[in-house]
Amino acid sequence: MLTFILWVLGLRLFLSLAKYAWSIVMRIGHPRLAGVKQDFSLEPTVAILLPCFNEGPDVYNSIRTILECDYPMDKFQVIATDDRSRDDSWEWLQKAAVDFPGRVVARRNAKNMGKSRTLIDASHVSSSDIILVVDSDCIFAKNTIRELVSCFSDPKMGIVGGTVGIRNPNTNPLTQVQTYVYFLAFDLWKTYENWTKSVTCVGGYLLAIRRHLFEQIEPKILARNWFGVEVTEGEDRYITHHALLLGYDTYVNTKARCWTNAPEKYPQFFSQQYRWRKSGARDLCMTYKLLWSHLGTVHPNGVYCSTIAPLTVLTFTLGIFIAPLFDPLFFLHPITLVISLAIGAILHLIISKRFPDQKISNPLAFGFFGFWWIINSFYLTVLSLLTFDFSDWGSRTRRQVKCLGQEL
Amino acid sequence: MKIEDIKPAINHSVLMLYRVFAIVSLYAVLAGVLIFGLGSAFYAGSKTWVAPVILSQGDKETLDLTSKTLSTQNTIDELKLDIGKLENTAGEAQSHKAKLEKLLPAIDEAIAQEDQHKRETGPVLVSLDRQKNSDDTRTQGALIKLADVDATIDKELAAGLITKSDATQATMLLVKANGELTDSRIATTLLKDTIWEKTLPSTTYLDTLHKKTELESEIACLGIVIDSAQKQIATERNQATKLDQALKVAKQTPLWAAMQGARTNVALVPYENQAVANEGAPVYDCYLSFVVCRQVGTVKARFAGEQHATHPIFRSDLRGFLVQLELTDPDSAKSKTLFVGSKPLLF
Repeated sequence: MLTFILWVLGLRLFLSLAKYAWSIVMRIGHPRLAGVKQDFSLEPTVAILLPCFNEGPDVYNSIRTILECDYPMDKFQVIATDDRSRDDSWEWLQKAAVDFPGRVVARRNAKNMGKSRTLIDASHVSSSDIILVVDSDCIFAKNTIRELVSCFSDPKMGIVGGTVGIRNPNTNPLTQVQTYVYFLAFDLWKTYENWTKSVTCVGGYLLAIRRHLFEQIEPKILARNWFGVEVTEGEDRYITHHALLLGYDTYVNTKARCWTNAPEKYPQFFSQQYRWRKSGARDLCMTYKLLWSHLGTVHPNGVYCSTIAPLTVLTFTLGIFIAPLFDPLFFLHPITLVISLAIGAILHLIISKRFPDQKISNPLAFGFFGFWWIINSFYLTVLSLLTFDFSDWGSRTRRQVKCLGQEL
Repeated sequence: MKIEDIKPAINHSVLMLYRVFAIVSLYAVLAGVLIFGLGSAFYAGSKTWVAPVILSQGDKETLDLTSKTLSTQNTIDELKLDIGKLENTAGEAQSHKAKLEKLLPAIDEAIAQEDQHKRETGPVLVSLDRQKNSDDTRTQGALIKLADVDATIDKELAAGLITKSDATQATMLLVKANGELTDSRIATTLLKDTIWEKTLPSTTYLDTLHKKTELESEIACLGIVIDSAQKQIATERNQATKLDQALKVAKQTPLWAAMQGARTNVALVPYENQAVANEGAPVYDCYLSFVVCRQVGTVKARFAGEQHATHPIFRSDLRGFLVQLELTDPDSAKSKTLFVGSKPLLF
């Protein structure tokens, strides 16, 4: 059994290394391999949906940078919705609506509804060609919107995303670690999936989707449930997955960038990682449930990324459960730290060269990432697999579990 | 009944089962992590734990030691036998050498006396030889003169000047004189032989010298044999002593005790915890690894010599020494760890 697990781990490690190496090659040496045809003359109308919950003044800054984008003013609009925040977020939204008249629609849900329903409701306010979902603390670059919509020249392109950087990379070791995580997850990983235009999850921090596609998926989003319990998190992954199943391409334009605040405290970070992991676990279940639908519709690379790659986490979880039984000090072995630091050094070099604003002041923080990764793999995977009946707003706060048809 | 009608009930049941499973699993994982963490922290800081080991005659190590002990004892016996043989050989050689060494002065003395005698008699004989030669010459001269007398006798007898009896008597005297001359010459010749023997080295003398050299060579060879035997005896005696000491050390190990009896309870004491592992110190066994403890015996003996083992908790390399345990509850030897000196948590 142990030998089998070691073989699987070894194979997965090899595939991961090969994948990341290929991603680096494409990212640095042959960007056209992972590119799409862009048409910068395209200027469809864009509705920027900005759901907000307990974001405070950050939401105002976010709206301000979005409105500063070099895209025709009459072609885009921010629809900001407060999901009954407990802080002064609503006041900041109202201020934005006053300060930027006609360009910002400030809304407030009658009751806390969760991100998915908030997005759907907000989408009904506008009739734009493109719906752009953003996180309420995201800071945009001036070309972000144009870079995103330029990728829709191909009618087969259903969803386009961007990459996200960290606004606070050097606040503490936690944010330093997340800089690496964000680069791996939202940039390097996406490059590999961009290769075949089958990105399995376009992050909800910057997700542009054709309206008709969104409306096509909307009923499915509303009907999402786990044996009757409404599912509210991971809508970005869910939308992307269904777009792929409907035969559309999905893509992340690495030139479309935004920046977000990474959690600075462990509980926030834990909640965020837990939400992401649960979203991935749910998606994996859905993938296997609809496996036959993938074949022939989704690119084989997309099928691989949806079916095999997520098993790495599960395999590692199994390995992490078993390894201490044979060698309790396995994870404190110097070679673990050395490998971790070696990977960190490579990432540090790439990040420092390509994204100077993301440069980490203490590259040894990657050693901490290795430690976190163990805990992450060990506990969060189990926790997420065993809490499918529980939904919340992730890193911001909790909300009550609500079953379909049951009012709060 | 439509499937939609019973779907909420199915969902509810599945959800209930899932939640029960999830809660149990999550608490199990949490408990496992906590127990693992607490256990690791406890054993990282504890200074009283030891790792019990049960030794018996059938253990691989015990069998190995039995085999090695027998082999060593056999070697010691062979060495002692060999030493005895060598001692006999050396003794015999020494005795023989002593006897031969006693012969040498006698031979030397005999040669010296013979030389002395030769030196004394040789010149005298040479002088006598000269005198004898002179006497023989004179005698021969006298006899030549008597040759005419012989012819005269016959003539005088024929002439009747003398009687036959006188003639016979005279002839007899003449013959006798010739015979004496011949005897004298023979004696002279023999004297020359004697003089040669007394004045020049004879083959007998050389033979004696040769035998003396052979004797000396034999003595030297015997010396070498004795020396070699003594060296080998010293080496083998040293080897036997070392093996004997090794055997004595082996007899002080717990494995030896296991060889003698059916089962021996020992425990590996890590060097970090050696302060508590004294003879007579109480030994405790605990439920839940280290939580509720009771005394199960004492430390009987402390064995010298470093032992290596695997840490019972961390699976890392462990260095320490063994102590023999006197257990009132033999099953305690099957525990993963025991505690010496005091209870780890005071209860």
